[in-house]
Amino acid sequence: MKPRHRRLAWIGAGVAVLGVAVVLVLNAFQSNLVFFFTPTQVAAKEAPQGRPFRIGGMVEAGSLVRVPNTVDVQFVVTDTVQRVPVIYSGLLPDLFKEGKGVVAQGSLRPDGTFHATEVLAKHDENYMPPEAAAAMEAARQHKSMSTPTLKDAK
Amino acid sequence: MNLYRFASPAAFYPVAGFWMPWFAIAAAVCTVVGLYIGFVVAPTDFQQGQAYRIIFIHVPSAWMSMFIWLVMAFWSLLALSMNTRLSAMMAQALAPSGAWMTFIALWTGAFWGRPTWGTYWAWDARMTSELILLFLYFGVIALRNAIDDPRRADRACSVLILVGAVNIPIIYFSVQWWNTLHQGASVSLTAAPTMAATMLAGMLVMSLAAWFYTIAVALVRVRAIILEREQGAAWIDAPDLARRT
Amino acid sequence: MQFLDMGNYGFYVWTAYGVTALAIAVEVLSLRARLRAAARAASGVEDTR
Repeated sequence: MKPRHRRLAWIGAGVAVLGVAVVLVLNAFQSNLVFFFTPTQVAAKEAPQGRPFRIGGMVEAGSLVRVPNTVDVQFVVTDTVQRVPVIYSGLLPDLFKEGKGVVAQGSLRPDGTFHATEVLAKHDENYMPPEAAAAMEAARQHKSMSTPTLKDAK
Repeated sequence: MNLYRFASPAAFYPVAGFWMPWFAIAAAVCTVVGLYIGFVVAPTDFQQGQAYRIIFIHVPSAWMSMFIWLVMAFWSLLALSMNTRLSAMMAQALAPSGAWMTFIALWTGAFWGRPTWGTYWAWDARMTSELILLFLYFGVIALRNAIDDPRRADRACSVLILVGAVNIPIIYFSVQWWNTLHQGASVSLTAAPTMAATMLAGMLVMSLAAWFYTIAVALVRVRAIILEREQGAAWIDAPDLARRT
Repeated sequence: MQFLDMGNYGFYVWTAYGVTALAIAVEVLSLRARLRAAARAASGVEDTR
């Protein structure tokens, strides 16, 4: 083995060991890297108890209720399996919409409602002009297909 | 063709000087074309309105920030295994470019996140790992400046760059591995893009611009580094340099 | 004017683009200064500082 090859082998081994170490550390920290919990996880009591956390999912269609003359809102976060009612007082982001993604920070009350202190909108990775979106929506309602993609619009 | 011919700083110095203007011109042309497509041709987005137009700098700079580190890792591997000076100089020349690209990706991301998500910053896995990348770039630059002997600095930085490369797949796959606020990838090698054609075209042309810009800047920086490190070498035409400065 | 307004997102869009342009300007100008200083030092011209 030439010195050059031996050096390369050592470097390779070092990088491999560090890579494994990082994977192990990440595994250990996995629980802390979770940005939000789904309603199913909340129902299964996998979300932190007794301290604030984030809940994420879809705003259930038709669930948004605005209290007149205030900024108080109520809506339901769902992952199509479980539902969690959320109470929030404040301005909602522009992209907050029924049927779209949402991440809310707050805490779960004993009565099962989630009192949010911050509400963020989580949008998807689809980008298209409004006309294409409208055409897709029409096609979806026509065929009642599940989750349309860009390809369906063509 | 003998590639080793260009492996010495002396031989590469004029080559870099020759190619630099062409990459700079290509970067300028791509920027103009890309911005025209992005702001004039591409339509507004169905859910984000005009705010999505930040994508034309956010995605190219974020891609570049990750790709530059991989290229630095390639040069570092070469520097460590072949013990070539020029490879280490290339990695050194790319580090500030990578830091700038990471900064731009984070900044444009913040000003895109505020009108869409409702916040400038969140500690989700994608954003946190990209921030770590910025600190890794700072670390390489700092380590370089902390060691006086350039050859020792080359080796230390090369090792740090290779180790730091594990962060790149973490950034890229963070949106798949963990629950994040950041959405998934719109463009990938394995699936059809989830973007309208003109939007995608604008983004890809701007990515080309980022490539050409990075190459042009790195060529200038590697010339400066060669002059700094080869000071007094016989090949340097001192009278000619004096005339030009 | 409607173009600059960006559907009420003008502040965010133009801050993102503006700071990017600024970052590129700073990088290019500082790099030019660095190359000039390196060339001056390598050419043996006395540093005037």
